[in-house]
Amino acid sequence: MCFNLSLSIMLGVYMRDLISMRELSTDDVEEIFSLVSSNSLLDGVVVTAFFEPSTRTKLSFLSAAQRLSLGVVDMLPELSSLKKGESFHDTIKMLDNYADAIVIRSPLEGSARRAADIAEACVINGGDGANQHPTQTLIDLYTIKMRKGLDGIKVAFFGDLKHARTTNSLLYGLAMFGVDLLLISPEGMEVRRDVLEDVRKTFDVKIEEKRELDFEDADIVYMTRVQEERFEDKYMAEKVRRAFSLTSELLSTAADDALILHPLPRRDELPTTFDSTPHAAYFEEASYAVPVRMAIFRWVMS
Amino acid sequence: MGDVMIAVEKIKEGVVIDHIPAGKGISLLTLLGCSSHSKNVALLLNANSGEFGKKDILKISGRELSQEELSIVSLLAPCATVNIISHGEVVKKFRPELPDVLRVGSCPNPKCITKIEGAEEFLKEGNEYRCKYCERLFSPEELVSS
Repeated sequence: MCFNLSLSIMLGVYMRDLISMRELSTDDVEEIFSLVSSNSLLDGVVVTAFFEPSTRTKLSFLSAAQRLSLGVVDMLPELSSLKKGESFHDTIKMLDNYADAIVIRSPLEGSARRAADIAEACVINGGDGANQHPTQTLIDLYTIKMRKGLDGIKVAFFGDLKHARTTNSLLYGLAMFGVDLLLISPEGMEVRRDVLEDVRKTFDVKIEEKRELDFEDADIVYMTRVQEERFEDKYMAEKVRRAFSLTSELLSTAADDALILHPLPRRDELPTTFDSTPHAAYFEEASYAVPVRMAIFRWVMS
Repeated sequence: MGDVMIAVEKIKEGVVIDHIPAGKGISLLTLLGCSSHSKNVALLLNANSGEFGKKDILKISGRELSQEELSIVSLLAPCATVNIISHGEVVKKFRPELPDVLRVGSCPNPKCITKIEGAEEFLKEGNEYRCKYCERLFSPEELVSS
């Protein structure tokens, strides 16, 4: 766990982990956002340990670290002793020797928290299976805050809501700010029941679930890729992918100035024809990845 | 064939777990590791019970239950009563409560890190438990049946 109190007292350093949106408050989120505009640099080394493919998350973390003057070490699991059968525990113990912060992504749920239990270094969750992706959520929230503000808006989620970790995280992130939520998914692809009940129980927020394709004047349409790699039934994945793609007619059911957000990568659920419309906010969203992740490093490390 | 009275010898030192839901006795015996216990162990299945109709009873001679083992009893048999026997007398009788933090059981989520790492830990939320790692919520029964 990353609360090394004696070190904190000696060096005036306060280190922490970022594992799940369930643990963040609105004050934490606002504090991270306030650090986006900071010019402060950091001292230390970051290790990225990605046990699952990634383009945006990994590269933006590496870029963020370098812009902050942090040293970076990129672990390549396929070339590591994991291939010789080294355990997760021992692997994290070794990384802890080399790093002040570890950014981890894994297909196993809870791997970031387990790493945080093992390591003294700060641990940042870069996505753990279908569970959480808190840093993507902070980017999503930052985009919404910059373009619309977070007060009095409605966000419609659309597509495979069962397998997308970005959805789980963002539900907590939006609910803590009191944003109205509309969840549209095909049968069998709904948000996890325990997540939905936890969000309902924790926050006083309006949540509606439905199958009909109607965004009900939502201010934001949040789309996610159908996570084919997490489907046991590949035919079902294909079926969902075809049925849940965005059309102009469908988008007309959202507010006139609605924005489309997508954590990317996209497939055919979000046709490129929307890219040149004023609704497209997903590339802008992706452009905030580096500044927001710089702010996250400042928040956990300094 | 009429009812047959089955006599099981009283134990002098040990523990008797009564009011185990009928059908759960064998699982409890296994989870408590009684099959490798060197002293007498008696398991009575489908005993008549005024309160539950049928029940199982487990008698373990020469053994105390640790907190973790009491957690297993509370998970698998929430209505069970535990009787501590000393010198042939019941010296303590209680119903083990579900603990706030549970370090026994197995996360039913096949994609949870604990499947390769162990180190299970569950945090009580109402009548259910949340896996500290994968953050999923499970019933107490699921944790001992997976």
